[in-house]
Amino acid sequence: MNQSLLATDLSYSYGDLKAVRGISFDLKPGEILGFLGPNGAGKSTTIKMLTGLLTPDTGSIHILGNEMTVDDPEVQARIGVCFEEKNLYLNMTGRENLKFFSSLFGLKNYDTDTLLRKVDLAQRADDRVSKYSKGMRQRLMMARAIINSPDVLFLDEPTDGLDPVSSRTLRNVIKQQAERGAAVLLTTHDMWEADELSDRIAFLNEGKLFAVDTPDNLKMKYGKRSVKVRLGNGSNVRIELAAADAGDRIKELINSGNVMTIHTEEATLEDIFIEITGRGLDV
Amino acid sequence: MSIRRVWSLISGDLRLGFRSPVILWVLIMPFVITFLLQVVFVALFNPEPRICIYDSGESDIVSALERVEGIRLSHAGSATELEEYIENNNADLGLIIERGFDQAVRNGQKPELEYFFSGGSLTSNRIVISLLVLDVLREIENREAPIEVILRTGDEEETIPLARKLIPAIVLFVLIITGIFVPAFLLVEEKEHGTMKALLVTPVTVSDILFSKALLGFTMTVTMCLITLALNGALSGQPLALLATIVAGAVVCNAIGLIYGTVAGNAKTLYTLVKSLNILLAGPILFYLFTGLPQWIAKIFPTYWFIDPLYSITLKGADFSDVYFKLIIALVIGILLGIAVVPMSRRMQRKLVE
Repeated sequence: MNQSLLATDLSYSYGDLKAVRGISFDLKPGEILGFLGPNGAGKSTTIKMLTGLLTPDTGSIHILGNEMTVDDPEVQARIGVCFEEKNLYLNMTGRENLKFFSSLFGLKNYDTDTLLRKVDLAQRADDRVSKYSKGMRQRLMMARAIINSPDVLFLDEPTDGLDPVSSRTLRNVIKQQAERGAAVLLTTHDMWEADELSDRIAFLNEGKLFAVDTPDNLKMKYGKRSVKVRLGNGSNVRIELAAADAGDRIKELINSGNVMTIHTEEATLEDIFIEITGRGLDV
Repeated sequence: MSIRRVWSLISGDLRLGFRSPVILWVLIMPFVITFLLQVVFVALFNPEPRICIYDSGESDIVSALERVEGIRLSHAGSATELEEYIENNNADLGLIIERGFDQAVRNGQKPELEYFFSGGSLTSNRIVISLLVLDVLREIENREAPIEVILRTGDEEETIPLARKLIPAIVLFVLIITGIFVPAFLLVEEKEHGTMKALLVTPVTVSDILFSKALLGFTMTVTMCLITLALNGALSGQPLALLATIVAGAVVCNAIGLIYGTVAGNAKTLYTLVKSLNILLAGPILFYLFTGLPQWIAKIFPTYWFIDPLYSITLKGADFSDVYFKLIIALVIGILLGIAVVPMSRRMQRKLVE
């Protein structure tokens, strides 16, 4: 099977507001696809359609070769979802939350300890979730999302607003899941995270998909090919790499002994996003 | 729908339920209501006549009164203590029995016996106690009563004690609180905390969720109603007919509970719904407490179709054959309400996700 997920011409409207406008993409096993876009771009709506919570107005979704419909237990048994909002049972302990969800997937005598260790919650496993911090709750949400070793994992802003330690733990889990062979769809407006984790990036803005490619290809395609040389007197010199004399100019500056630093002027994903969509990611 | 998933959901609710004050209240409610009923209505509205005696000899009147059921007898240590007792309305009647009183009665000397009545005592109690004392005196004198009193009841309904008349109302209260509130509350909690969304991306379906809440509500409702009836001594006689009635009532109430739960988006809305609409559901009770009202109006209420059988069985001794038709109507109402939940749940799911 080449595709874990195939979305074709998906659209969804909330009344008159068109949230998603005819987007198509695919996702392969072991691949992480980063959906990058500002708030209101349609990322969460897309995930809701892909996970069977919303029925698309148009288009179709195939997950692991099966057409996805609302309330489809067979497909939903093979996916994992980590929501943006923290929707855990606060009066249950972390362990009880995982036990409960494992029972919904029909997993008997599930080993919650291994999973809790994976998200650094083993020490607090028997505390009620109401006593957990934001980061701990998000880590538990991630543990819940991978409880069934899903073939397709949907992560909606999984590290949003987390401390660096929690974020790193979650990023490691995401990488492990992809290495295991799970296809991961990750929505974020953190371009650094998308760059670090994603095999491919999809830019989403106002419900439309603008570009789907690897981060390197996007940078090559949209970034500037230049270097910035900082001199000892505090001034900067920019040299376009495409210029015929670029090599000679760089050599000349180095030979002058006045060079403090040299930086490539690679475009960030945010720069590319702005160039493509005309708006920033934090809007 | 899957039985395994439904059972998993119920297990989760049971685990959470014992940590929820609302569910705990539902579980202790029959005991609290029964206690209140017994204390308030039985003690306040049907108080037993109270006699206080100061006996300076060893009168047979005391031992005779001690054998009588249905009165409360107390003893004073002195005549002054007895007078204080009566003044404070701790007894309806006080008697001071002088030494040698019994012998004087037996000798036909007609000794004086002074009654001390409390100003706060009920006239009915005064009459009961006076007749009782006269009866005891006649017993001591070894004389037969000159007349035989034959008791005949008037309006049968008027002779039913208030505490017993209230049993259908209490069971309806338990049915409404448990049957409606439990499934509605469990549904609204899932929505409010966002956990329903988390459930819907697992193999669990909306039908699984609705059925699990209804089944848990149904089981709790039937159990709590049976406990309430047992606590109030109303389970004997027609247990199967009572069980059928409670089952029909639980079906109707659970279906209403699911409707409340699907309509209300949060606990605040649910409480508003419960407060405003449950008064209407309890409407038939008024027609049993105030029998002068036109009884046909009660049939408009969906709850009538199981409350009336409950009333007939617990208070009038009706059996299953007398009530089965009404119970069928109740079940049909419950099923129709249950069918109405289906489109409502679709709307709920859409609203929840959007």
